[in-house]
Amino acid sequence: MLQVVDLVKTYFQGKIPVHALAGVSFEVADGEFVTITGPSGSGKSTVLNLIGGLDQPTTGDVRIDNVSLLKLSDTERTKMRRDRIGFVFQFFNLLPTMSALENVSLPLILGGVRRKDAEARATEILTHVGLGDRVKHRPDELSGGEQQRVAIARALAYNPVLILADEPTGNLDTKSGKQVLEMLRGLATQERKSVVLVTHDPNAWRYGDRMVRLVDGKVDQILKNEEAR
Amino acid sequence: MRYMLRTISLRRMWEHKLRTFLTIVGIALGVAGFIAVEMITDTLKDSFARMIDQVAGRVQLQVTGGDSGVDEALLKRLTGNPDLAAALPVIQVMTKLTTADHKADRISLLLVAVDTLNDRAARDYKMKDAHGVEISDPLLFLNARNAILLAREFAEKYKIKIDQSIELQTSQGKKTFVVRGLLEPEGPATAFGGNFALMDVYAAQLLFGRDGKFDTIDLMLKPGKQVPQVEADLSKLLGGKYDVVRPSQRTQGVDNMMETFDLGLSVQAMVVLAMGIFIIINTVTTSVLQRRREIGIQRMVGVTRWTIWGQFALEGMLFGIAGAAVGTGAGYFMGHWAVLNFAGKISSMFVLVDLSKVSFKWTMAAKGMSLGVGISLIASIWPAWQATRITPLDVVRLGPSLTKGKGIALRRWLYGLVPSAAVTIYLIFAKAGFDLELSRIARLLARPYSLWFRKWGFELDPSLINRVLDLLPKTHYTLLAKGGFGLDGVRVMMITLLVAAITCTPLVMLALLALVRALARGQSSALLRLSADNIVRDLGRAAMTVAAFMVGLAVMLLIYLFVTSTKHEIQSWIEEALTADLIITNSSQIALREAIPVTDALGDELAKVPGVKSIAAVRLLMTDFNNTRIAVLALDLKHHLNKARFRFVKGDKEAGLKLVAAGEAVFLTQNLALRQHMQDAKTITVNTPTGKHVFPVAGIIMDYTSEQGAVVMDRTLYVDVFHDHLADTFHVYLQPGATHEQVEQVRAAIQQNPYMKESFNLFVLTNREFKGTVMQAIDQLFALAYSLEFLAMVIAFIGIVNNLMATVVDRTREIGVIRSIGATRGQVARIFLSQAALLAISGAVISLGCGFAMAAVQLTRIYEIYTGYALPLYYEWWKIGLTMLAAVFVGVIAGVMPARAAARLTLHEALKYE
Ligand SMILES: Nc1ncnc2c1ncn2[C@@H]1O[C@H](COP(=O)(O)OP(=O)(O)OP(=O)(O)O)[C@@H](O)[C@H]1O
Ligand SMILES: [Mg+2]
Repeated sequence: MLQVVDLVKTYFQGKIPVHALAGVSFEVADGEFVTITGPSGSGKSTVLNLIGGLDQPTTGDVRIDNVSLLKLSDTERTKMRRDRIGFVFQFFNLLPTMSALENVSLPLILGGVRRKDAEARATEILTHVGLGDRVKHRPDELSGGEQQRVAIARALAYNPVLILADEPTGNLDTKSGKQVLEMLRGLATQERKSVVLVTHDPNAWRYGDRMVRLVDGKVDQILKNEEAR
Repeated sequence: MRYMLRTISLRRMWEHKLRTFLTIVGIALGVAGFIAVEMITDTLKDSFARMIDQVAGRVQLQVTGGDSGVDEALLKRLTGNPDLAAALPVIQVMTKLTTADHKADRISLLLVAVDTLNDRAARDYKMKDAHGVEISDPLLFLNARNAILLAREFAEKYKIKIDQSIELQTSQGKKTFVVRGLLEPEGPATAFGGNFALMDVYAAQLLFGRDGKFDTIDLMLKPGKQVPQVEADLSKLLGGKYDVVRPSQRTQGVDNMMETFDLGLSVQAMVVLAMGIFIIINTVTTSVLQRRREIGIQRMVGVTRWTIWGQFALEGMLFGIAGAAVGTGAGYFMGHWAVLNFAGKISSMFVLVDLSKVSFKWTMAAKGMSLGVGISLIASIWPAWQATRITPLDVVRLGPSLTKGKGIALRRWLYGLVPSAAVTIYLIFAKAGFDLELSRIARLLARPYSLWFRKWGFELDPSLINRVLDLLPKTHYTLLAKGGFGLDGVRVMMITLLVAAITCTPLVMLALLALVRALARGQSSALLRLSADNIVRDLGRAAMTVAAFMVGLAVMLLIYLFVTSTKHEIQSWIEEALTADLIITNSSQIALREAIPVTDALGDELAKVPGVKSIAAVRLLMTDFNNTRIAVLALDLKHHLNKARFRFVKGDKEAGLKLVAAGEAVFLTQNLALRQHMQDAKTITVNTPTGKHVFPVAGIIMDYTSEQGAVVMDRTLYVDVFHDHLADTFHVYLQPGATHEQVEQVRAAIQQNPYMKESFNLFVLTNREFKGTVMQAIDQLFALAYSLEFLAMVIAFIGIVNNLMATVVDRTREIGVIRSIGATRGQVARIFLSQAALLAISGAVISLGCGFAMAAVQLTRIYEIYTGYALPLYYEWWKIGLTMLAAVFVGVIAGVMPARAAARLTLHEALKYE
């Protein structure tokens, strides 16, 4: 479902080129859970941003359901992101002035869904992630784990086929982190969503089906679930 | 500190180039506007002073009677005076050269007529013959009635040769003069920019309607005589009937006359300058907010609070210094531009002067600089103090997560209600005519305090309190004088109104945003919600932006209301007062100063034109009065009596009209009565050629002919007392019910009348056309005010751009998040555009209240105090609505650049952690 084809990304700091990615390829199947690891600065976030269309590769391509991101206009990419991809960030990135319900309904309303319907759907998802009794709370009234679950709920608003998560447990205690990881695993297994998770956490690796290890912007090795453990 | 400045402040200012640039431009515009206004008023005053000086030469004293002149018999009385070496008659008129090729735009010329035998005692004239040899006595060339000397430069410019004939406009029509010589640019010949002509005073008497009169008699003292002594002696000798003044004193009258005008402009310039305060507050606050982390770290490594404060105060000052420097330079050019575009019109309304020398003084630059820097310093005090409140702990707390922004200290803004409540109560009391004396309140308050003092062992003597309170000047604690406010009270009220509006701004904004949130539906509701949240999260900062916008708009509204009310009132007055079918006038504009009055013989001639029923001559003369200038308005009451309806303010209409028509009394206009505190006057003393003349007053009428106020009398009496047969306009009456075609026929006949056609350059306007020119003149007088307003709006615009750019920077990550969950670039842009619109709408709403309140005060109080007119408020809703819509539109435009910046943010950058 997701193909990453020979991605190269070169940043320029002034005149000096920084090769963040030097040709990275891998595939993710429907319902597959892939973790990406590697030392700091190895290009993990860069890969994820390119997959999500947040940034443009220098060369190479990303295909989602055989649609090449490269060939899409900015608006089409935005639509693709909204409808098919869900993002989860390390620092939750919830809008601080909005309640959990409003945060989750926002992408739907922006996409033209009527407010009532959007809020119904948001309530449904929030209940699904176990926050049915927290809908009116604002981010600063929620714990870190709860905030991250709201963020996951927001990522699920459009029922996307691909979930991209960059260090979603980085700011959570072990227990909350485990909850989040189990939730992502469940999405892959039960709802056949593809999940790409960037993480440093060795505990997280075992939730994935496969592990891609990056070093210096290149794929160092790809391990199957059993091997990773 | 210097290290901090170099390593941090300057670098940050450089980093945020756009914000730095806009802030500096904001201050610069304010300073430039201020300097331009100073330049324009100074140029007018200096030019007038210079002209008086150049024409006066070595003259030490002058006997004057204003424009009405002095009787020639006086010359004989003064000639033998033992104190005087010379008494020199002078006539000075503005005329026009009509022979030059430039027919369309006739050239104004200052014509000075002197005593050709003696004038060299006071003034130097220099002339050379064809071989360049100096001629010993140029004045001898003026021996013939039609002889004239021209300034050389002027003659060369218009290719006029010696012995050539030229035509000049006189009160008797066009007359031919022979140029007998060219004056070198020296002494009087340099006056009025060298557009100067000299002739014999006795010839001028006849041509310019000064029969038996001179304009001034210039005096030279015998050696050893003291000016003050002679001044006093002569005043006594002349029985106080004439003013004996030093030439330099004559500028005072013009200064006083321009006072209202001056005041209006300088207040407005100050408002424009003060708007810079909001820009600086906004910028420094933004700077503090964005550097919270950095400040925390500084505090952690041991930087003191004072250094932090100094750092930001200095930053604000840097903006001020840069802005003031740029503004001073820009003001220099803007001033020249303003003089070129506006001073001519203003000059023609007050006194015609040569404006080729624009005044720019270093004191203006110094004033502009210190105002710019001072305002910036004041503006940075508060944000810099906010910076000192940041502790190292804040750094620890400030994760890279999205922050909710600072809470709103609503209580602080509530204080804003106190002044507004005070003003409201004050207005109510004023309306009810309640005499609120502050001293009484102070005494009342003193009682509980004295009890309180006693508790501490002090005994306060009540009489002591009274004595202390009595020391205060009465006007300062009696804000409310009987029947209205004193000027101080009114000024305080205007400022209080503005302050109240500014402090209420955040509250009104909150209410408005709540309303918007409640009303918004559908997809845009989410966007509006995000914009509203952005505003509320930095309410203080947004309020500054809105306040600047609001002040600009409120002042614009004030000017609009003032102008339309004035126009409306004058229009309705002129509708009643001006019933003539045709008006023959010496000027296409109502700019009386540049017009040459004409002999009333023309009126008699034109009365013979078929279709004309009657013609009334109107004369408007400016004369010196109590250190200012007032108008004398001579009307032909034989015609006006049954036609024009006088609006009586005081006095019995029937009896009054009878007396005035019979030449036994005069009317005062209401504004004259108010300005000169003559509401109850039984008589008025006016300068006439035969000395000061006492006229009985038969009543006070409403009349808008002169802003300075006027004495209205019958023409017969006027001619009698002023020996003046001139007229400025003729009112032509046709048979009642004359059709449009008939009016046009008579107009053509008048224009074709040979006497009229050949000799006079007069405009024949229909009633409607004339009224149009009056309205146009009012607009022109306010053109400068509107231009200043334009500056204010530019600054307000900059404020919005600055505020939104800061929001874009502060909310970069949020924008990234919103985009990552599916918002399109267009939607992000719409968030910022609607944010701009919300700010502008808030500003517009508040300005409506503030502008109307200020206009009410201005029209009913300030204007009345200065001009004596009390104007009813008049306006058209649709125009105000349109203006407000335009303002909101401008606000949205201000949002375009920030919206683009937000939409163009690269997503992965926006989402990156610090
Ligand atoms: N905008 C940029 N300009 C220049 N270089 C960049 C930019 N963004 C990233 N890089 C560089 O690209 C490389 C890969 O960065 P990336 O953020 O993908 O690393 P990462 O694997 O996510 O690291 P971490 O585990 O610390 O999050 C790094 O060397 C980084 O310095
Ligand atoms: Mg990373």
